[in-house]
Amino acid sequence: MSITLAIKSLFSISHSNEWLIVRFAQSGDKKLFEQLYDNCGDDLYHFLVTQSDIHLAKDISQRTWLKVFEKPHLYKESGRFNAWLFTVARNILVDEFRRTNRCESLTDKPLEQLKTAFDFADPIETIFDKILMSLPFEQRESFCLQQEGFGLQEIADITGCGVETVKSRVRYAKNSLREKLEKYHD
Amino acid sequence: MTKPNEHDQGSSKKAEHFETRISDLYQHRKSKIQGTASMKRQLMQSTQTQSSLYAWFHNFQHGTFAAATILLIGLVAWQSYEWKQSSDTLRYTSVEIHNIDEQQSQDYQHISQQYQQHYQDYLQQKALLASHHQKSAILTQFENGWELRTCDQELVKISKQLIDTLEQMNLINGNFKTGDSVEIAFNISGLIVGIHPNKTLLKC
Repeated sequence: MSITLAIKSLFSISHSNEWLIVRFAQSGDKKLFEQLYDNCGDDLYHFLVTQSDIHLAKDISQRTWLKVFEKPHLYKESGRFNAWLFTVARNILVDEFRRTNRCESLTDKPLEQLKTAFDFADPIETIFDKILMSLPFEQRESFCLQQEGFGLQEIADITGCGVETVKSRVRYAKNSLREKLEKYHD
Repeated sequence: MTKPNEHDQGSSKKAEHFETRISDLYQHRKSKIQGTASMKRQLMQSTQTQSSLYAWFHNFQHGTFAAATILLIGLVAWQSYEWKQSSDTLRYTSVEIHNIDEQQSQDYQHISQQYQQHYQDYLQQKALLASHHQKSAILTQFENGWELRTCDQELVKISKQLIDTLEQMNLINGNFKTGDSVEIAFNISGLIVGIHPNKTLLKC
């Protein structure tokens, strides 16, 4: 079984997401779309969960992928597919926040419910989660996008702000994380 | 006391360590939060619906476009045919109108000529009639102007001045007395242009 898989993986040609989306836009082949989902679905879903909640993240993820399915030709070949995907998702998320009057989620202030104090008896992963979720929306967003491998310029494009702003948001996010994690460490 | 260089190296290592640590923690978090199989299934089902809807719409769009193109070609062809036809008809009609106009003109001229001719005849006959129009009458009074009575019981009164004028113009021939039969000559306008003795006795 494992030999078969190894042979299969040896002969299977892995294509970039950019190639897949372009081919999908041309052919409409659902297999290409499925492959794109397999490649980026979890990253996007995690980002959305981090920026909202599980229920909204599922909804936004679904809507984002449907938009990709319906309008793949909107992807500009000059950029990375992931950057376009995250931009689409973020726009839908922000629209949803505005539609449901959850604009406070977009402000720099962390949400009250996320400011819950963490127990030092918790494992570090749990504490990291809590600290991350207690960060203001924009800092959390910039930090997550950087962890997803986007450059400062790409983050600026996705979030629609300047590179310097992104840089300072990432720095603030990391400082908060460091400060709180060091407390835990101590 | 540590040297500044050593301090920098230490803080750099610490920063690197921190970066690695938060990266690991982030990846650990990611590994816990993943899309479920049901999410993918649901999405693929939605795309199936979208796909069939899109395919239907796509086909409908193609069909509509084809029908619209055929309709447009048909309309253009029909319009050009109509235009061609109408231009031919117009030329033909123009010729017809031209002929009718000419005919009308000829008729008018013909009628006009006939009218002119008849009118001339009428005037000629009227003049002839006037020149020969005479009425016989009996002179009934003589002193203060003349009274001439015709057989139609018409009484023509002629003033003394008119008789004098007519005499001066030699339009009254002869000496008349009451009871004489005379011929009264009228012009076109009905004016008396002469009174002559009637040789035959008028009997009414």
